[in-house]
Amino acid sequence: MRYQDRTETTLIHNLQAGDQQALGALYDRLAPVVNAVILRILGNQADAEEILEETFWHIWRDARTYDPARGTLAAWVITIARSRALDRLRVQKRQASNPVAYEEEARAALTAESLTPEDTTLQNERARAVADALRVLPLEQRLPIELAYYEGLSQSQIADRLRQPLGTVKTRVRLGFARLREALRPYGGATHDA
Amino acid sequence: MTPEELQELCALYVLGALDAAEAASLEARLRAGDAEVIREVTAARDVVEHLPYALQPVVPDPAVRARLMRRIQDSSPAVAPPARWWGRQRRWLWLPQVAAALLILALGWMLYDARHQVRGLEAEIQRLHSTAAERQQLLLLLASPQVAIVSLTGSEHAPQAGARVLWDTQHRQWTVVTHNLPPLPPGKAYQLWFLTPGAPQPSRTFHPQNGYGIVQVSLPPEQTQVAGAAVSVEPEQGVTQPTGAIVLVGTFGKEGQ
Repeated sequence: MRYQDRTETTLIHNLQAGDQQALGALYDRLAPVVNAVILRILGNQADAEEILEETFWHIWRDARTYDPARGTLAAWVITIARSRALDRLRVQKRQASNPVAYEEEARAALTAESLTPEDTTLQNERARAVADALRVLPLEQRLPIELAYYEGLSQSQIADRLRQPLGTVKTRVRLGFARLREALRPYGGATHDA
Repeated sequence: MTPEELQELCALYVLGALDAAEAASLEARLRAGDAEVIREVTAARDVVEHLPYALQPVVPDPAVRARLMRRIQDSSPAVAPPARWWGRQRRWLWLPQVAAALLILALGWMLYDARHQVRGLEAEIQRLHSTAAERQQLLLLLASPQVAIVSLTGSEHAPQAGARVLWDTQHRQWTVVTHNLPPLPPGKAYQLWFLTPGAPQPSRTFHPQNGYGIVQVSLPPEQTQVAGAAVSVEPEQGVTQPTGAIVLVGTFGKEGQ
């Protein structure tokens, strides 16, 4: 069976045994979505590719630290990538020092790459479902979630950025999660890997 | 703390947006095995894991992969050549040092080669373990009372081919085991289809090895009337409607209800 057709379980076992082809197969499988996350955070292709390479190098070196009880392999890889990208973002000091008007933040979100992908092939069915769920999410619920996920802001920083009370931010995050959870219920876990 | 406050705390924790003190307090409850906290964190984590899939995937420059794989290969142990030794000693005095250096090189190469072989054998052992695990899973499915077995037969394009669909009716999952599928042309893959009263519904693509393959798929929630299954030859990335030769087909009974 080709590496591309192997399950996550098989891939991680092979990876932990030092199989370079398994790392290559994992990269081929996940690099586009991981790259998209890093690029969304950093907004710069050169920096994104550097973080992408460092992420998978870390995966290669520390494959044995993966704990399936804490989530899927894809989620683990994306978490590492996001963490490194946010570290880079903080170093670059791209966070706004002054609160941005809510309207400006909303316009930025509407033009960001997180809008519905045009590619609607079968393989993006899950992405379409997530994009649909996020699209119908009220903006005031989506913004704080995206500020936390893609800019690494704390709840207090989000409240300052959006010029909203902290309690309001918390409530809107909870309501947004509830709606996303309901919309994603038919699709199970984060991957459909067999 | 109200249920709503706990949900807020757990959602922000998974997003990494909690203040340090609140995060530490929540982690203490997680370590203590607080069932409520574990349940809410797990649910929040499931939501966060889906967020990246709302982005349009961006294929990176192939150079990134090439650099990565080269870096991995270069990280394998290597033997450095002995430092050149320049001296004014007579040539015949160099001979023992040269012989020693050559011996070190030879031993180092043998050690590197042996370690490389060991790593290869370890990888092979892992592959065999994985294959054994897959076989064990198949045996468990075969023995399960909630699994129905349905056959697919080869068409005129692959008369010797066949497949068994192990239908886990409780979890709405198929494990499709194929045999004797013909080799694929370059750029092609086999694609599995759900046959419904309407148009065939596409499932995943796969590449069997020597005609033998195992594919696991979940039935989409909206597919409540699956009448059968088919396999056709399609482009690598799959298609939304069959375009190529159908090589396997079979119809089901009450399992499809």
